[in-house]
Amino acid sequence: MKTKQLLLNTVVAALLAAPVAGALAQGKTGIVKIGVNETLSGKFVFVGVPPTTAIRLAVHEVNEKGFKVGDTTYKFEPIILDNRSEGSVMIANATKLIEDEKVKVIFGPTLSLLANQSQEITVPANVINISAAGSWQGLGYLTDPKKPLLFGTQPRLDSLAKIEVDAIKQLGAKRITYMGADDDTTKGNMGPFLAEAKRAGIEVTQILFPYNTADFSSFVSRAKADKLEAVFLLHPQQSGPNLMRAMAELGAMPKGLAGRAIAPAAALKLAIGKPVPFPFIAAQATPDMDYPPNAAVKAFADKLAGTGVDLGVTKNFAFYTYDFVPMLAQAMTKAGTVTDTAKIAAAFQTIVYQGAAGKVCFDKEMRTAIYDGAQTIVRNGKVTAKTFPSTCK
Amino acid sequence: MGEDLTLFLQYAFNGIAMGAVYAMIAAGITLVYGLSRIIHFAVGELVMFGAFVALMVWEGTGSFSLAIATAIPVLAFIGLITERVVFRFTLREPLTGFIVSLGLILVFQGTAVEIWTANPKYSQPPLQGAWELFDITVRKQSVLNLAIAAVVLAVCYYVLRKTTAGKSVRAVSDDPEASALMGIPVKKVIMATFIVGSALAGIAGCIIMTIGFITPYIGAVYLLRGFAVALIGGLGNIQGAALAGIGLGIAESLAAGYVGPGWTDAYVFGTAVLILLWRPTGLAGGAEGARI
Repeated sequence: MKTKQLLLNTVVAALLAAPVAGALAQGKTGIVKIGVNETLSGKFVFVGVPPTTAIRLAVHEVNEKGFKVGDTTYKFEPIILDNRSEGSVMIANATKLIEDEKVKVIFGPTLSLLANQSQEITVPANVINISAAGSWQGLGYLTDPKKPLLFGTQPRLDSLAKIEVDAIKQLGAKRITYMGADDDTTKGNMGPFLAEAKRAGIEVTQILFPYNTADFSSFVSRAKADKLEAVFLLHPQQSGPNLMRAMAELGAMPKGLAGRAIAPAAALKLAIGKPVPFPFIAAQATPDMDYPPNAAVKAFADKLAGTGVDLGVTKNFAFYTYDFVPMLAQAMTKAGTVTDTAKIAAAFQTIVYQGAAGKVCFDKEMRTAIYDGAQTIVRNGKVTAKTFPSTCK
Repeated sequence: MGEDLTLFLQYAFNGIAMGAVYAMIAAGITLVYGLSRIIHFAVGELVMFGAFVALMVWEGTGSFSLAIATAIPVLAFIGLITERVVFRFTLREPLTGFIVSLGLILVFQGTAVEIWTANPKYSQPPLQGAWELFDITVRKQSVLNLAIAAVVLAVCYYVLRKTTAGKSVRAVSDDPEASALMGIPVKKVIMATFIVGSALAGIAGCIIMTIGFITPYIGAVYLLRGFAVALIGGLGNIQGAALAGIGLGIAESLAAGYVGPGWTDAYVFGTAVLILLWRPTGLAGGAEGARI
């Protein structure tokens, strides 16, 4: 009887314990909110949409399995706010994300002008702020020990300058003009380029123009009068076709144009309806989705195209965020916390991740990312691509 | 020709081509102001709308003439609607009209983003290439744009000066009450002015479409220049607007060439401020004594 009772008790206990054991096996689940504060409307919308689209995609992919921190499986919940390309809205968004949503990580803004303001809020609040803003490097924020939670997702400007000056060398030009909109982005990027050009023995004349310049005739006329041989255009990227057309029609700077992240389509057809009569080299910090160098880039490009979002000529900006979402998840796992930003940041810096942009990691001297760069070269209507592989080990 | 002179003339030609566009925008502003005393701040957005409409037709049909022929009635219709629905109720309070026009900027921008998205759009112009003329490189599209602007402004001038309709406009501009007593349909004349002013912005938009990229946010650039030109020329003075437009275009181009290009805007608008300090009613006179 006792044996029978014991057996019955054991069976009942086992039945009662089964769900509990299942729950234990399944583990706890949690949500980590991450903020996104980007230019999703307003005049800089083309800067913010590609990285935000990539974040949505990356979050979806991370959330399919979730990520473990201790015994809890977490998923990301992106809180995406549009700063309308305005400083005041960006500040309100950052405050809302930190105060109301209690996020510990904010992606963006990508635009330097706004990113400079953003870090004034995120740094004192001990929130990790991740942005591709070039000015953070130029202003020394990413080497500042007092700002350890700021991370740059655009590769070091000096390594980017090497790719850009290499493009000028390929054009065979010794006297060039460096053109860009007269703003923080240009000023933040110019120093490393000028230093690298000097090392290469290239003489550079700066021509900065008002942001919304449509007609480049006078700027190009000036470059022609100064007998400059080629031009490097930093930004805005949409000025590429205008500038190319002015060069072609005014017969200026015959050795060609190099530019950062300018779509090769501009030189192939967009500018004058046929290939431009001078060489063009797009030099960029990221791989080129239009001419994918490997299967990973092609897969990413296809996924982005599948979202149906019109990413325009700046779609390569999507690389500025995509790989960093899973890296953040890995960092949280490694740090064993989703709230202690100091620990997460320390772990984030040590992650090496094989992503869409190649092998991705952070620079040892500066909290900014390293991954594959590229040149896309258009000569006589033919396109060739060159990869500058990541130096991550 | 010496290199320095050639370069100067090159800058001057580049400037004239752009200045003609500013003159057309300013003519629209000045017409509306001359009759209604409303400072229509959404005129930049009308230019933007004209550019997008022209782009659609140009890319769809490959006919630039058709693009202009479409943009004009579309923008004229927008001018009609805004006058009938909005500005007619603010004629007695031009300041209210001005504030309403600020709101219209957001309405037009939002609508354009919905229709065309906010991504920059670029289209090749109908005429490509350039001519060499006494060592000056003259872009073919610039010549076409200049010709369009010259014809449009000449027609405006002729209509205002030589036709009965023009006389009615000038009469209303000078004294609306007396004009009404003389049997001139003042409200209809004002409505017509909004229509013509919007159509002028539409034509300017067609030209801008041929110059560079367009986005729903380009309006402010052309609004500022259009207003600077209208003020320098004298608000209400269409001939002054034409001359000041060309002048501003040349000043801008010379600044881009000889002065630090990044300071082009500051240089140009600084000059405008100095002119207005010297002649508050503009170079050719305007404002209270409207000279339409």
